[in-house]
Amino acid sequence: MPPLLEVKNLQTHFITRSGVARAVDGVTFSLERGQTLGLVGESGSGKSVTCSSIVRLLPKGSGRIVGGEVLFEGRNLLDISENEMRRIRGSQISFVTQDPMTSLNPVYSIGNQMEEPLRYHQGMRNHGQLHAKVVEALTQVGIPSPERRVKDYPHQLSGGQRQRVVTAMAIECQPSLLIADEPTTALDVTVQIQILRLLKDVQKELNLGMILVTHDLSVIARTCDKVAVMYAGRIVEEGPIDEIFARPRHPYTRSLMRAIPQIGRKEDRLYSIPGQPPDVRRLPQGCPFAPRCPDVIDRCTHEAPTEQFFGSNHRARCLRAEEMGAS
Amino acid sequence: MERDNYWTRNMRRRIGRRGFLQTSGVAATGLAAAAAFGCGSDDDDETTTATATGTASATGTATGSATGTSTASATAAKPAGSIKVSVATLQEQSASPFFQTGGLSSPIYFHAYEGFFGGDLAAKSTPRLALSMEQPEPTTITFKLRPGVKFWDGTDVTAEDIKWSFDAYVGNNPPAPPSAKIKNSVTSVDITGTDTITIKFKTPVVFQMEEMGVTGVSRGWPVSSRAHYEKVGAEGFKSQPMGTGPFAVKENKVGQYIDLVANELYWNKAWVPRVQNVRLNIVPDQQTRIAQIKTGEADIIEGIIGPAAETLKNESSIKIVKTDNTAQMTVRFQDLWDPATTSVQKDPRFREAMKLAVDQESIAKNLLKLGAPGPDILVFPNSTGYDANMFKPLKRDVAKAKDLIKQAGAEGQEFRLGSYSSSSYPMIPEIMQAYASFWKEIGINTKIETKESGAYFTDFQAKTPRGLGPISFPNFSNGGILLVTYYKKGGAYATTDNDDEIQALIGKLETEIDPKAQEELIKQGLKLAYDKHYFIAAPYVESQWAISSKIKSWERQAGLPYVNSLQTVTL
Amino acid sequence: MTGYIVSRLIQTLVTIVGISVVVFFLARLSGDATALLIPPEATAEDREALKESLGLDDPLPVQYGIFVKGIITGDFGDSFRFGEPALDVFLDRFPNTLKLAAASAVVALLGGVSVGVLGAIRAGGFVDRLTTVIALLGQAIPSFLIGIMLILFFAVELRWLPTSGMAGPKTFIMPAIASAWYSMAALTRMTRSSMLDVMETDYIRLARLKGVPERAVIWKHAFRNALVPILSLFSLQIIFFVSGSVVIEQIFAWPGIGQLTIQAIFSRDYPLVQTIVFVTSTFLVLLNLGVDLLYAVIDPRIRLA
Ligand SMILES: Nc1ncnc2c1ncn2[C@@H]1O[C@H](COP(=O)(O)OP(=O)(O)OP(=O)(O)O)[C@@H](O)[C@H]1O
Ligand SMILES: [Mg+2]
Repeated sequence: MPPLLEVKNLQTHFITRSGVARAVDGVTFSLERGQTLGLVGESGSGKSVTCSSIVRLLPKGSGRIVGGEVLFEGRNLLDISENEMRRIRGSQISFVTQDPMTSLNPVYSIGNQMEEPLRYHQGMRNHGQLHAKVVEALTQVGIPSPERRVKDYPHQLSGGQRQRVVTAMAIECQPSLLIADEPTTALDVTVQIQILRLLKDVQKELNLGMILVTHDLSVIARTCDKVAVMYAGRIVEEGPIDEIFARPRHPYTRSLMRAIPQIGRKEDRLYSIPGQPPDVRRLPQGCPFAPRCPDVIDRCTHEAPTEQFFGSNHRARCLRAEEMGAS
Repeated sequence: MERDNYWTRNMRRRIGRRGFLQTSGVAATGLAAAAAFGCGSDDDDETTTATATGTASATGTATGSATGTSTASATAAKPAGSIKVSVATLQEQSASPFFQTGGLSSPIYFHAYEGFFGGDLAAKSTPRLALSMEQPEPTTITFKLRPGVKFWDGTDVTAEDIKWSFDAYVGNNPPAPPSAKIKNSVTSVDITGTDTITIKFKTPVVFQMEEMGVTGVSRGWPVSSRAHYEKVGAEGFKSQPMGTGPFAVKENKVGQYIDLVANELYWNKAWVPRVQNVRLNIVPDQQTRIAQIKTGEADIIEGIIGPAAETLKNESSIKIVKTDNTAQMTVRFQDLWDPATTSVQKDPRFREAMKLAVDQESIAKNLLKLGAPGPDILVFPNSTGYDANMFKPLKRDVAKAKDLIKQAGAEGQEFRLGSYSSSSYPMIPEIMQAYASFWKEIGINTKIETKESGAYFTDFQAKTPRGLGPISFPNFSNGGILLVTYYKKGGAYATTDNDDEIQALIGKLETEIDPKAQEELIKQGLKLAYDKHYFIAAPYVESQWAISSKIKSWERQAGLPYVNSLQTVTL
Repeated sequence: MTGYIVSRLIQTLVTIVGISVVVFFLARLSGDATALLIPPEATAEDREALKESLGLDDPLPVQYGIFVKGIITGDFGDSFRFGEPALDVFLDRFPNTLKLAAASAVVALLGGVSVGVLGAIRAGGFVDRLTTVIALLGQAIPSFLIGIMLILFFAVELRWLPTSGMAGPKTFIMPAIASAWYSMAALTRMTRSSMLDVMETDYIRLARLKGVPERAVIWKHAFRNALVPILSLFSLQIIFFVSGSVVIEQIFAWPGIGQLTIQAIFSRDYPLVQTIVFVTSTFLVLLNLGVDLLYAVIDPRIRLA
């Protein structure tokens, strides 16, 4: 049986006036049912574009998937028709988006929006049935008095509740893959924990494959089975959670770990890693992290690092990966 | 009871160029404000040419039956067919005979209603509901009624109806604008026999009541049926009126159209319409009217000016016909309203220079693309007292004008120049601009001040503006009324108020009841105004119509700018 | 919701009272009515008598009182020039203007919205460029020119439609297009930019992520959100339609209130001017109230605030 999701050498480029942005440049990873993959990296490293590419929802005009494969249950999603793709979105692959304040349509009631996946994917038309399903989903995500909430509009709900609604909407059709792109960034710290717990519960209950995008390694540590670290459109290190935390092999991963924010403080968008992430339109020769790397050596500036494997499931893209693990 | 009196003896019929056409004064009583385009009557191959070689007001007893229609033999063929006429005016038409507002409603009045006398095609006042009139003394006029005249519904017109109509007309609220005149001058209207009506006036009546017609050439008021009025009630009467004219009002859809239907009972068999149904469509835009005649939605369209006419010349099935001299415009010296003025406008040399600077020829040819230069005076070629040799249009002479300006010491002076848009005369604002540049050439500056027409007229009547101001008039053929109304001191649009010579002459005219002597006085009065340079003229303009090939012939009344005489249309 | 309605109702009422004052005094600013009602030769007594019969000899506050009383009782006085009740004269034409206004509104809205939406969803494409051209033309070509061009083409050239007048449904087509022309262009641009803004939002992205078909994304999710600015522009355009366009009425010989208004003002027919302006403005104010309520229907944030 093929893995739930297998992304192979995915390349997504943006054609802009000032050049081609290689937002995702050869990303490869896989995910099994019941597994959670943490996707971590600085802003602009290509996490969101990777997620969007999986369901082929890129900004019209400029964004293009130029290479690679996205095998979902063995089927290449890049080959199917737009209509087939649409039927997968929201039913088999669901999303929990970043900002619940803006992700719900302000002019339709919660109930109305929650009914949509059921209508479009399961052809459910019966009002009573729809209502029951919606209430059930709301109950499942822990919305109090869901009967009443159904008639409410998004602006009548708190941020945490809205994210619960978004989550409920995502799991209504029993998907097998859930992609949560920074689901807690816009929320209060106390609420963040609740939402993470909810996602984890849901994931376990439905035995979902889940991709959790975050800036926060501590979140990853608590929720994920494995982690992929992205830098400048590539995965620079990937491996099981304990492996990575015990023996990070990429200097970037190590910097990230050093920059883990204190508990209770709302995290910053940017880590306090010195220097700026590179411009994906003008990547330097050699390792893109080299200019900022504390462990940089001469070779790094002109020789592009290849992937090195450590055991069956830990890999890193660094010329000095070997020595890193040793130290 | 005809008397061989002064007036009867003086009644003259003049023979026109073609046909026996009588001439007479035309009392265009209509508000100048509410006037329309220009007119005249001269179609290339239509039969009658109404040449108004105007003198001799018909006076005293005017007898006669058929009016001056020269073609139509009185065959009583049944009216047949229908035509659609697109008119530019009529937007606020009323079908009621007692609320005819003047020029703009004349397409209804002229077809549906009549008074004692009315205009014929030569714009001469001829007997209608009256058979004849007498003036036994200066303040009394007696009309002998025409027997056998019927309303549209076949009932007879009685003396009672006529008297009742007088009361209804002058008592109408709001008043029909022309009714004020008749209301103010009449003391009593009495039935003095089964077929006579006697009207007594406060002051001697000089122009045989012509100045008291509804509009255009008429005497007296529109006549309607009392019995009908009482039957349909005041409200019903407005939409279902009654009259005696050659056409009956069938439907009046305000703001859209008026349907007229031939009145076969019309007393003058020559004027029983040949066409059964007429629809007057209100189409204010010239371009749309032109489109309509092309598509066949209209058989006759009015108000085709200058360049637009050119586009129709290539259409084989459409013909352009004209009525000459339907309106004139003159610029006035408004500083003269102030008797104590020290303005250079008092200097006749300055006034003459202003006339000489103007190039009417080029205005007619290049700007209006119609019309012909006229003399610098308020008069029409068909007006009583007009004399082509005496009143010649001036030729432009810049050198002489400059010299006169120098003599008058007026170089570099600046005057306000009023301007407005008129419904009776096209392109006044453009013409004023051209005049301003003519005057600039001789060193006189002007500052144009444009006003909406209502305000412009009010100011003009109040004689408050200073400087220079144009004013236009529709064709006006009774020179006497013209002088008394528009040259006399205090007259609404007069600018000769403070000229004692002219005023003395008008004083004489107002007591002179001999038409021959009247004519002489009119001529003298006009000559004074001409020689003293009180007016700067713009070209006489004509009215143009386009007619479809469906229309074989159509004769129109001389000088009248509005759609008229549709009873003469033959298909 | 009730609070919203009540406050809008009170605002509306205050506006109407304000209109009555403005209308009354503005009408009288246009000049002396009697000057144009009787010929210049009429005597001073005649003028006085006329003033009296028209109720113009009373002091202004009394005249205003009579006017207000008239509004309440539906008696706006007789038109000076028509001699009929001003309200009748007005109501004789107002429906014609309203019918054309409705037709124009439909053309402007359907045309503007469909072209605008099309331009937005194909932003940058051929259709979008065409949209921009249409929007530009709408602003550049005056409606009278459009009117004449329509007549020349559809009436004179093709003979499909009657040139002018108000008769069957056919006669509505050209005047409605001509008078909607400008508004349609404005609505096209507004719809396009409003839709583009909305299409960028997170909830549109989420709708797509949910697998909502594109058609529903556009018309259900995006359009309704884009509608509020479109509607506020549209409610402004309606003012033009309902006040009656003199130009359009002139070209198409349409018996609307545009020409009537101009004539009434020029002839200083106070009762008629008052009636036209008051009834039309009141109608528009109520329409505006309707639009405000519609906002509440469209957007729950307004309704539930
Ligand atoms: N619409 C777009 N047009 C052009 N370039 C884009 C667009 N969206 C993304 N990119 C490019 O792709 C790169 C990756 O963007 P992405 O949104 O995936 O980053 P991210 O890792 O999700 O960052 P964040 O943590 O801020 O969400 C950006 O640096 C940018 O250069
Ligand atoms: Mg992102």
